[in-house]
Amino acid sequence: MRASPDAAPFVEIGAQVNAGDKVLLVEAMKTFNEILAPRAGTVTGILVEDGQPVEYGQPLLVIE
Amino acid sequence: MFEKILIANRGEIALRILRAAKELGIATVSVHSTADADAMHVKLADESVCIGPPPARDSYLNIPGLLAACEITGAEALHPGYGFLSENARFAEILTDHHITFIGPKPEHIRLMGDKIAAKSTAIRLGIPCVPGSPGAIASDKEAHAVARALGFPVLVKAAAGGGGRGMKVARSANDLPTAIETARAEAKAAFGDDSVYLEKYLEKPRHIEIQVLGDGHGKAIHLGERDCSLQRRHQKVWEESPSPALNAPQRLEIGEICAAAMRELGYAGAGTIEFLFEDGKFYFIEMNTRIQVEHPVTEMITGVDLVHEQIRIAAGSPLSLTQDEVVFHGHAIECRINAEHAATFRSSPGKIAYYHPPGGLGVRVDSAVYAGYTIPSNYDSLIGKLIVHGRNRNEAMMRLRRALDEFIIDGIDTTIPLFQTLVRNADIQNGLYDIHWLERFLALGGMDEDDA
Repeated sequence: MRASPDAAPFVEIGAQVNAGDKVLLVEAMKTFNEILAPRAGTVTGILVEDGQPVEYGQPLLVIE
Repeated sequence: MFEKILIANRGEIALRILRAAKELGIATVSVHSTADADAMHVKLADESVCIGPPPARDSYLNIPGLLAACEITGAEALHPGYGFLSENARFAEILTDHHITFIGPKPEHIRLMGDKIAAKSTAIRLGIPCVPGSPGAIASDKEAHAVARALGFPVLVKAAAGGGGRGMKVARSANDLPTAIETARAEAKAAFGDDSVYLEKYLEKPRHIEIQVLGDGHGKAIHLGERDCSLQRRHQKVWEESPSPALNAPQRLEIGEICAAAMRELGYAGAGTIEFLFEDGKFYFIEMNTRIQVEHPVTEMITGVDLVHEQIRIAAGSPLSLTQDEVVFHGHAIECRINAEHAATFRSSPGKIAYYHPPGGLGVRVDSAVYAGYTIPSNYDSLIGKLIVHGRNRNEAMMRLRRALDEFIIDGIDTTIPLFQTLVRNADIQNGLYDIHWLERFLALGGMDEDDA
């Protein structure tokens, strides 16, 4: 959700994002993978907590 | 000799240590996180203890948990493997305070070599050749400019506490220098909590060549030749071989003896690796690793010496099992690090292995802890196995590697096997003409086709 433990989150509810904006980081095997917004819109839902394990195909964020 | 040892690691290295202990008739205790309950190092151990949840900081780095595991199982000694707590001097001291033997060097040597500036000044004192650079941490930009002018550009700005390529910046001219220092300081502060940096001459196209040493802790030490680990991506070794295609026998004996003599003077105990950059026939010390290394099998294949056996024997107070004269190099060995990553994009690929078929035959060794049906957890690094081949000469080893790679099947996840299938057929690799930048350049120029990988 944020670049480092002390940093501000990449996005919060109500944030406007453009396609290609960095919205999340998913850590796998000690590597941080950037998750980019697939399209522009408003963030209306954040479906995960910081540090929560996630599965393949799981919705993470709602952009409308 | 020990009756029982605890292995404070996971994956292929935990299994590697377990095999050595069994061959020495020592009972084994494995530890694991909840994510590793089904791991092979747990299945094959005489006893196992769960030491915490999946994150490494709560399990494999959990010192009270490891001490408790030693106490309840009665393990007399602990082997740390590589990574995790293997180069943590404080941990080695805590074990000693609890009358548990740390299978590794003396804490003061771990600490000495863990501090890059102290390591370099020690190397200079011991007669190990070093990269010319600033005598210590750089205090001001003015001092940096004076040192850089004396060295000649390009220069490398390095974090004193650095590692893994972090806190390292190249300055190609005096104009670049302030920015390079500022960036290196910021990265070092963020990564290591220490912003001291120093300067070194920057080598343009060096090879990475390292010397394996063993010391008994009482002033006897030997070297077991070199490993050439120049094929790297993002400062991570990918392919290692011995002998180096770039060294001749007199060069090997000269640098090997310099390293062995230095370890004798230090009174070094156990296995260690002295890493160098090698350019235009000259060696330049980078750092010393005070642990068993991932690529140690390459040395084992050409010397016939089991390095983990030696580590355990030395920790138990036994002398080295061989003298320098008894170290004889036979043939050529190559290791490929098989990672659970896409071979062109390097995207990590944890998950379930549907089918597993390792290669076999003369001169083929696979060090891996995976099996068919095993799920590779996403919590740890992506190394899932090492393929090591041995041949009577480099050409035989290369043809054997090509054959073994084509036999190796790991279904269900992406692996870096296709990368090695490409490399083993590449003319530069076949001719041994590569430096530490070769692989990054090859990949940047599209050497790996994303669809083929």
